[in-house]
Amino acid sequence: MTRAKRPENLLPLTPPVFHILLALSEGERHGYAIMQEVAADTDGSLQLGPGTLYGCLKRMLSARLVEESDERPDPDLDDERRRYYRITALGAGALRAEGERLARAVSAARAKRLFSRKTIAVAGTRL
Amino acid sequence: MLSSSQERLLRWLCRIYRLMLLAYPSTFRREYSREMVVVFRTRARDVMQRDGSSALLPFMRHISLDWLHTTLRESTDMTRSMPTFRWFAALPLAMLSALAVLRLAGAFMALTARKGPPYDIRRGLLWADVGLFLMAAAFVGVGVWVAPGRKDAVARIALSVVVFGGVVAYLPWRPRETIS
Repeated sequence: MTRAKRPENLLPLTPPVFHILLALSEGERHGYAIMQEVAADTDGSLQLGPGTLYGCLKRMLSARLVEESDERPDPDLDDERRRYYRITALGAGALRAEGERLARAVSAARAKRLFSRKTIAVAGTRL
Repeated sequence: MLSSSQERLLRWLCRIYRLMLLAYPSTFRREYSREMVVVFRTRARDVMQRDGSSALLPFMRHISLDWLHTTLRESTDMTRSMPTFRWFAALPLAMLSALAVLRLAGAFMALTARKGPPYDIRRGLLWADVGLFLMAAAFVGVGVWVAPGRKDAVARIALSVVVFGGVVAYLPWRPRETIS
């Protein structure tokens, strides 16, 4: 009997996997678009190389966190070698659970006054 | 828009990257190498357009580190699925390492036991000996740990044995001939 995977069992996610899921949460994307989105989300502090990106995607596909999409936005405008990826329900659940876990960790760190006022102010302006 | 020299440089970088992709396991390569080249080319083009050709140096450094890290990761993932084969493949590496240690010890003893010219030749041969053995050991190591698949690994180990045989048979480390 196969047991259905629960998102909580997949935690903690590695930073690249978390950010790839985050990039795909707004819609399907191809590899380079994922790279750009991750770099933008992290202010350039996490730059995925092609090896890291496709290594993560391979593992995420086998864990059913993402799946390949057959649809193309516009075949005339797009390189046919590009594959598009989209997040699955399990991937969205894992992303949510990891987000909550990180939020709890940040709350705990904040309660222990680990952040300077400047850090909190910068984080606040981003929100 | 890139100039013609930048386009040429980009083509060369893509060729180099395609060669680098050979270090990935063949299953991974078959599945993702085309896309990886597309991503590499697009990103290199963006970097050149935004920051000029000089920005390619840090870009290639980042790509090389990513390549080094992920080839090891993907190969480890692959070899984990066939532990028996991994041990079999590690045997030539162990043998080669042991032989390299023995030859180094022998060479050192020969060098220190006799005095007189021509030192330079002997020293040169010694370094050639050491260098070739280290290269052969590295070759076997790469063959074992970055083997792209069972068939490829067998081919690489066979090639390693040929290299190893060549080194043993033709290496001109013959102390008596060089010292006299």
